[in-house]
Amino acid sequence: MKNHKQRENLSNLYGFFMESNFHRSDEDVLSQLEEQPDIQIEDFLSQIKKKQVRLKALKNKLFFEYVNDKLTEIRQKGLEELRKIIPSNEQIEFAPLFSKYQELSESDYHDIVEDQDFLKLMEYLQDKEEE
Amino acid sequence: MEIGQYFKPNQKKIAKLNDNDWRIALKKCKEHIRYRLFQKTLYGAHTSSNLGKDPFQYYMDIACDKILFGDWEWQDKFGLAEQLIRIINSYISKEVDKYTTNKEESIKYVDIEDEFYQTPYEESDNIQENEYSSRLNTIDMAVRGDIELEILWEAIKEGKKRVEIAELLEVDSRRIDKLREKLAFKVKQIKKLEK
Repeated sequence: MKNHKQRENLSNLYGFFMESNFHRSDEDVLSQLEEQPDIQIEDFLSQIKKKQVRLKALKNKLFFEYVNDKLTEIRQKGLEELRKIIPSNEQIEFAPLFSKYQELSESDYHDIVEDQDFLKLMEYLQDKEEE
Repeated sequence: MEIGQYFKPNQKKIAKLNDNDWRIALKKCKEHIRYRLFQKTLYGAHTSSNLGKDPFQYYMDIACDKILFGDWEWQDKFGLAEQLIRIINSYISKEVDKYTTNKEESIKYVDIEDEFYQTPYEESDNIQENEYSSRLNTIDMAVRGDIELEILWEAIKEGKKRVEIAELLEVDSRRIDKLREKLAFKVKQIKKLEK
């Protein structure tokens, strides 16, 4: 019985500490870190940044793999086929691109991958497929 | 390196963060892990030797990777600290369950305020006797002679929450947070003297 009460008291104490910690203002936490810099947190933050750099590279690689796959699809079906899967109210944004590449020549396939409007369309399609 | 289904939406939120946003969340998580581990268990489920690394590093690695790689959805309604704390809570529970029953617990969504007040797992009588008494004695010593801290400790023992304690002491909740810091500082001083 005594142990049970002790356990409950300690549990309430740590619960209170967690609750109070959770509600601390940003300014309060930052001013504490300015007064007492925390090396472990700075180390961890630098680990996060390194991971983010690697993730960004991976994200770019995956995007360009997607673009290549789409280009193959466009070669087979034509750019016009892509237009059909975009809702009409959202087509306005990509209208200049579709009119520019109405007929895709071989040299257009090389140019289109550097066209910002085309890359924007690819991002749009990738987002749509992931939804 | 593989990315999960929430990679893109999570990354959109992460792109808006600056270094200080991360520092604030990491500091809150660090304190949370410390108190949570104290609360959950007194024995080895979370020791460095059992986890393979320092508990902060262990649980922060899991929580941050889940968000960065997109395996866990960072929900719009939660800030960074709250989302990370939710993941940490889930994995601390899983780790203790693995250690105690070898049973995996499914992820539950509950109010985070309720999550703070949980009872620890049952442990052997011998560990309880010594460790609980020692911790409680330290708190008793820390509050002795300071009326506000004495009332705070009594209220905590009664299971009162932060807002209720603020009402009792007729002060702002921020003042309660300052009292928590004062109590933690005094406990640290006593522990230093005991060493």
